[in-house]
Amino acid sequence: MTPGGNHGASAPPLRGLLPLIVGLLAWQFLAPKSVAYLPPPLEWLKALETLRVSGSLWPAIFTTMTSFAEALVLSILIGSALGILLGRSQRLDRMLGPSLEFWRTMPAGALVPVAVLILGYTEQMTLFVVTLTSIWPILLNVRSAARRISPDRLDAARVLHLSWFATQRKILIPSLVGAIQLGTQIAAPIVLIIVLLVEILTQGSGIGREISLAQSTFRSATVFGLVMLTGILGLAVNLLIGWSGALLRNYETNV
Amino acid sequence: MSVAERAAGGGSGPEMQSSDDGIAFRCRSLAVDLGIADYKRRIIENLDIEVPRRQFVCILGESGVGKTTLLRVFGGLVPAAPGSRLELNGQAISGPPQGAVFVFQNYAGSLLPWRTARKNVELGLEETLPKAERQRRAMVALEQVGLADRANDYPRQMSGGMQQRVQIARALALEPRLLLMDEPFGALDAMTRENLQIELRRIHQASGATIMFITHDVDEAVLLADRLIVLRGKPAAVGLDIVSPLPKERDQITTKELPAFLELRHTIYEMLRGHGTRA
Repeated sequence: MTPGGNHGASAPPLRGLLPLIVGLLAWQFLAPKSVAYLPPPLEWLKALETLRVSGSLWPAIFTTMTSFAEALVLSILIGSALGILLGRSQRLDRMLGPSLEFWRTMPAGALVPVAVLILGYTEQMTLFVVTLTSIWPILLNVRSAARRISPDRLDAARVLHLSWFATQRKILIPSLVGAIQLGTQIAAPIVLIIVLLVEILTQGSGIGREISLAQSTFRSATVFGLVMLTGILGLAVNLLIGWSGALLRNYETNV
Repeated sequence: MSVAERAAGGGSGPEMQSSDDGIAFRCRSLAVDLGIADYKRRIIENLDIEVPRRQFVCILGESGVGKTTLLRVFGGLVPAAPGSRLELNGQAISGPPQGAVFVFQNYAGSLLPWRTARKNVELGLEETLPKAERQRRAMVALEQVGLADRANDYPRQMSGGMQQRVQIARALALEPRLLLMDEPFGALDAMTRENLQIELRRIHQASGATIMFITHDVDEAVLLADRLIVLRGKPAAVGLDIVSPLPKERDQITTKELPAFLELRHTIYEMLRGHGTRA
């Protein structure tokens, strides 16, 4: 997929969810009620309602989405900045390339114990692990786009006597908007997944902690309900990013 | 109309008469090296050129002889070797000089696709001129290249010839004293190229800029130039330097039928061929 390529790809129609809804309905009405580990969907909603009444649902959602937003913003900023540096400087790219490959293949789960040792069960620890594992799609996209910028475009900036700052703002950044957007679109679901993973692993806070708690006390309807909720949040995030991408595509177009 | 307006505007500018000896551009014992450290290759050596103001100079040479490199040196994009002297209006050139604008062959790579034609033309004016003034200058420049009615179109909505005209307008908007053009019509189809050649001649007459124009197309060079310079050798130096005997007014049909045109064309071809057999 290229930025600005397929306009229909950004926001898939919601009717695509129909098979999922049909599946859930079938589960509700056709599945045997006796199996305790597989409660029907209406039970999930009741369990979520219980959680809401107890006052722990909204704070959990808020915590998770806050971590998500913070980690995504950090990933975009750090990923883009590093991507530009590495894409524009061959020397830096050679110097840092191998170490970056090392970090890139590091699984988030393996990082959690180390991060906990250093930072404890804190919000910073979550942000550290999540950002480190989700900057890659943005960094790599921006790096390759920064390498491909037409040299004539940058020479044009020089012969038109644009200042360094104006060259960054008017030529470099706009040339990379598409790559940043595409990287963000790939990174966003990863950020959400890793936030939940860290929350489940550390039982610190957020939806992940609620899932982990419910699972350890065998409240299976709550687990299913929270997983469904996560899915809905993920879908909302994707729609939002896709929609913002469609807006950006009016701005950056392929040459 | 717009041409006359432009000519009046350009002629009355204070910079136009400011300098002394009528020489717009001068290079003395110019040498250029490409590559780094142990892999340096001398591309150009001992090149002397003096270009009077308002002259239209075409620089020819076989492909690979260093034409584009030479123009990039003139434009301050590539440094000359130590000991070279380069001057624009009496001022030494180090880095892209004020008053000189480069027009690239690759119009698609050099225009910004997220800006309209007018905003592309304004790019070089944004740091120095207030909004109203630069819009006016951009529109004048677009009018000069015949694209005033396409000011709000994006480059992707235009043909290759129109995009190249936008790039020329972007250069003209800076009211340059020296235009450096690197095979600007090389990527265009024959018909568009012929139209743009005559237009460029007209723009040159009206604007009073000095033009250095790189091409490998002999007919194009003979049609356009007041003076022709052929580069040859390795490293390259001036092989031929002649002032065109053709009248100032040129067009695609009658100019090309003139005996002087054919004679000049013959001389240039012989020069280029001669080098080919010798090497």
